[in-house]
Amino acid sequence: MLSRSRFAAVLVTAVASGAVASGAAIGRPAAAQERAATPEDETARTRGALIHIDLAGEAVVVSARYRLVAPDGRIELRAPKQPGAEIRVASVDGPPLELEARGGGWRLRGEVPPASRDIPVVVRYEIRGPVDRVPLFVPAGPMVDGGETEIRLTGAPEAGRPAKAFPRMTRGPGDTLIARLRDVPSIVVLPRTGVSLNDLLDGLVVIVILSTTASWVVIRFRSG
Amino acid sequence: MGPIFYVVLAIYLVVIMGISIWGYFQTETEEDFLAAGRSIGPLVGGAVLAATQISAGTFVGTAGRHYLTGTSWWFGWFGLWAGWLVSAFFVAPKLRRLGALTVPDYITTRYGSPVAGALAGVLIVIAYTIYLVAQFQAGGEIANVIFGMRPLTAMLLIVASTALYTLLGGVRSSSYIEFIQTLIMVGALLVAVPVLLNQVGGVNPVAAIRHAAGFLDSIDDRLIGWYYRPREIIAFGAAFGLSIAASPYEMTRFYSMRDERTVRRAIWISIGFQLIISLCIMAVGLLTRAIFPSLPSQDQATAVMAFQILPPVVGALLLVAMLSAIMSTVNSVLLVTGAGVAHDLYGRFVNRTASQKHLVNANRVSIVVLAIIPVFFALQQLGDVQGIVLEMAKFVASFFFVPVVIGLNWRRGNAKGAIAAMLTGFLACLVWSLTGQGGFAAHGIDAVEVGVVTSLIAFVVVSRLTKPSPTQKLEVFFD
Repeated sequence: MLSRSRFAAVLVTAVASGAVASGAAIGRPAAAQERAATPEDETARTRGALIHIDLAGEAVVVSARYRLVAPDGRIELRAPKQPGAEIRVASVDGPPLELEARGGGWRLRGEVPPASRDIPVVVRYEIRGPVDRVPLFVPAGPMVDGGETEIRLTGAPEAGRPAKAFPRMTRGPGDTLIARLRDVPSIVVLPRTGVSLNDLLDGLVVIVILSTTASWVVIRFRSG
Repeated sequence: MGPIFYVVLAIYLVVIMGISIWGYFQTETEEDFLAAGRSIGPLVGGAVLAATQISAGTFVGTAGRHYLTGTSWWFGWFGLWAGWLVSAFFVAPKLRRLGALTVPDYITTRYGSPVAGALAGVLIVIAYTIYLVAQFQAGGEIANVIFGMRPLTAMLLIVASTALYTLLGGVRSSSYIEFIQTLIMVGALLVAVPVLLNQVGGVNPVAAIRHAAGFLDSIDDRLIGWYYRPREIIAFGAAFGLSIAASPYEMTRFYSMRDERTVRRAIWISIGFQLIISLCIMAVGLLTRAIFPSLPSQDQATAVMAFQILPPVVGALLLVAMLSAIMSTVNSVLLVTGAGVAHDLYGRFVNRTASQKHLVNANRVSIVVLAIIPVFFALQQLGDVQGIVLEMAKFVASFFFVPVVIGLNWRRGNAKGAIAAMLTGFLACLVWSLTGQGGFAAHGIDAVEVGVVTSLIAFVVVSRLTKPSPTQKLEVFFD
């Protein structure tokens, strides 16, 4: 029979050595097929995004300002197509970017001299057609730690509740609605009026939980 | 979402603590602690099996893999379900008949060798110490997204709360807690999918799916197609299936059920739960990619979705369910590894005359120590959550599939063969992984296949070359 101290020493050694060896196996470089889906994601980064959506006119006008980092020199931004809506890019400030349609999305692509400094990119575009979702161009590189996306919406109908928009918004000065979040979303769902699907589901979930709890209490009470 | 999230979380914590305290007063013997007095029925049992299977590896890691690689990862589930069926028909009935409390108990009895049982105990502790790393890492990712909390703080909170309810009630309370967790997970996911579809493309789900698929296809045409080749999916399925067929923490749940029929019914119910959850998880990963195409880490997909996209109550429920999934798995694994140390090693080799109360306390001390070790490794960020879970599945399959599943169905297997199988399986899988040959780019052979085949060869050859086990010891398994 082992002494307790010897048992403890053997166990700690076994667990530690096994854990380290297995950890080394797990921590080895990932196989090619387990790496990021898009090669540029590994190097490109976004430092911040400031997006203004103006709903006042006939067309929705979006002005999006990004600060990008592209060590490999490639810049790419993607936006989803919206059924029945047309995008017209009015101008691009910064490196020359080319708009192309690809399947169900739009893509802005370009190349710049490789550098680790910030590259400012400003894209202005109009959306015409039935728009209750505004497509946004999302940079291929993820947001850096501490980076922020700010979305400002002007010209929205007064009746629309900002909390029912996506992303959730709050009222700013004048008729401006503001959302702040870390990552750039591919769509903005405009503020709605009345009862939404989200409200219904939230209410339904609360009712189900309360009625289930009440049923359980009644059953337990009756069965003694 | 702030206040609503905290209200939902507080209500949830009150409920699980209430159940834990109730479990504490119901627990008097070691069998009560480890097997809930063998009283669990098929519905609760099935939900418990699903909850044990549906871990942070699923909510964070699997959703993350779908976010990153698309639909093809889903086919790996078929391997896992095949493993469940093997377990239902070839493993669980015989283990129930034996009435063992832990897998090392089974290994010791089947092969008549305390050394083989002790080796199984050590391998369980090593494998699941690493498995906990994935759970803690997932908890850190979620807490980072929700609270902006440092990973270490999040992990220590998870350790403290989970160890508390594990310590209090053992399997009895955790079985009922996991039943509630499964209901929350399935419910929250069922609600989450239509909300996501509505955000992406409107109230018409067919149009929304088509719209999301079109955008995803424009990002990477493999997302709605074959990102992984069939050969790779077979290997992933094999790793999960072979490990689940001999998985120690699932088996502990079999012991807590009423009888063999209950175990079989519970497994079918569990597969039903898992089918629903797997489809929802795939939808969550893909739709979150359509809405947030450039997250910093795929492991943040579900947390970001719950926090940013879902309505407040549903989002809070899903976040609570994710934390529950982590706590549920940490709880299950701690019960197994704690038992591995206290019951199989301490009780067998150090203090054979220990009283029931002493063994329960030894279980509790082991649980606390084994909960803290993985925190260190989790802070090192060894890989993505699903990657760590996959690697651990490969290890468990490599050292347990042959002695457990083949050993239960091949009378000639003996103790020396089982020891050889466990050691060679573990080492072969480890060496294959460490030498960088685990990737398919090398020659298309995965570490799990090398581990299991090597283990099988060692088992058969060594058993054939050495004396068979005494016939009377095998009656309970083969007659």
